[in-house]
Amino acid sequence: MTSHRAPDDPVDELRHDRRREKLLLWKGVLAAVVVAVVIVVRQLYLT
Amino acid sequence: MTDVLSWLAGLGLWVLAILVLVGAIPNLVTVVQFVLLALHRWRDHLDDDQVDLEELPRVAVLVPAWNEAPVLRLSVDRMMALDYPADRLIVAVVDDASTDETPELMAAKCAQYPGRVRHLRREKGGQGKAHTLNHGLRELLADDWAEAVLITDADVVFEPTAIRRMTRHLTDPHVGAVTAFIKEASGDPNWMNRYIGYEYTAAQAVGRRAQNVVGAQACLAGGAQLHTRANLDALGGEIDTTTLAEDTVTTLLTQLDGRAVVFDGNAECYAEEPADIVGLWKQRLRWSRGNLQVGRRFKHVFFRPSRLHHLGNWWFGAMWWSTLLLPGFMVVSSAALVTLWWLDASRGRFVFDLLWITNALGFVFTTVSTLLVDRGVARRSWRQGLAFPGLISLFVMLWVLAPAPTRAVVRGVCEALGWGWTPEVRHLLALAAYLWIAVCMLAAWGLYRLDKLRTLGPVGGVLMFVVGYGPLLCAITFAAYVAEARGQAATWDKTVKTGKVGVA
Repeated sequence: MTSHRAPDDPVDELRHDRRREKLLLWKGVLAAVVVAVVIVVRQLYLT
Repeated sequence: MTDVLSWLAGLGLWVLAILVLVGAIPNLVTVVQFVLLALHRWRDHLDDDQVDLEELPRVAVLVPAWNEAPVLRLSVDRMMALDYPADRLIVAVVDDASTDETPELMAAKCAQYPGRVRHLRREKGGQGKAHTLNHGLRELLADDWAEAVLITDADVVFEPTAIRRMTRHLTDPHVGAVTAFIKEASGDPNWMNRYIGYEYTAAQAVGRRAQNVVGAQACLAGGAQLHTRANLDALGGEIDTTTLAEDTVTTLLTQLDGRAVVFDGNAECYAEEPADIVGLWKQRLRWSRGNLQVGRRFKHVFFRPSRLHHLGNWWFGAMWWSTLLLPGFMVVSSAALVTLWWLDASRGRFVFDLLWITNALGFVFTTVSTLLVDRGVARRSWRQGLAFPGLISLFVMLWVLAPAPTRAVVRGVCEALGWGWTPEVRHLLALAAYLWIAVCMLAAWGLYRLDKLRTLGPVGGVLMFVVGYGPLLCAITFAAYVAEARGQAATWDKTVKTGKVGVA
């Protein structure tokens, strides 16, 4: 089991954590894009 | 008169259609949770003034333990090695009258770490975790050394920076408690450990971040709850002992009193979780019964907005009750579909497709999101993430998402079996799919009974893949309804820990 390792310095640690939180928005967008692709493929090819 | 009857019959069919779609509510609430996750960057409670090492509070770590020497051996050493000033951290192990070598081990640890490790022995134990914790809290709050108390479990291993990360939030005087992300981390994980690992990512790394966004937390993880001293004092210096969900009661009481509860997903720790169906059933039955008890006790709080707290927020109430009532939703949805199958088959097919397209797209969105949130868990548990609803439900999703190819395959199979592809066969297949929404819980209960009768081992993993881990959790919640309705004794059935947490 491994996990993300943050820098020992608390300031860098905070910056690192904030960056991770910001990335969540783009991960959500990516998941929504996958759903959109599923819908388009279904409508075009699978019905 | 005939017109009125016809109108009433039409209305009845629409009511049935709506009852079918009720089955999509929990899924839609979950999707909203994942949308809230994306907004967490604006509500992460991380501020520039949280990094002053001189301001770190004095933390007492409280560890209740009963016959857990194998896990304490590792966890006490790990706590002593945490990246936290040595003069600001102590560990107090409350030994609940253990009959194993815990006393000897703790004597050795106290000698190894003088002044930093305490052994608090209860000569008469067995009353449950909350009583054990209260014994420790009385000792720790007797003097003014502890500025914060971290309540954890003996098997929990913290990342070196986890406690420091949690204490960051205590610079905000409005915060009463902070919780961390507990990961399943069995050294040699089997299929059950991997399911739980995936579930924890969805429930904690996603769910609790979403709860941060709305400002209302449902539960401080029992193994990682950091309280300010002020919060514990306001709670009367003790943990509730009247329910099986003492951590949830503490969480709600903290917020009802106007103090915030924060989840820090970057503060990580690791725990050992059940490795088979019987173990999971025992643990989750206790949790589900506890949540039902808490739901009853705090029923006046939900869906009632307050200026003091956010527990009355509509989404929080929807999240809480849709989880707790999920088995009920499934039974209602399935029963309505079966009635429509009998009364109006074409309408039944239409709402079935609508229900399952919603479920399937929700499943794609939440699964992709969960796997993206934590790459470590994704690598370890991606198969269990995909198999979460079970093979049969996945096939139903495929049926509605890719109808043409899936129906061609099913038709081929039916014809190969000599059943043909007649309207009757299609009608019966539809009935089977409608029933499965509720029957999956019965199948999961059957797996539990089988595992109890004779340990299934790896075969259990295969059967679980067919039936689904989600249906198993629903079946356990249903069993909790039954246990509560029967007024069964609320005993503290402890999950056995063996010390197999493996952390790199």
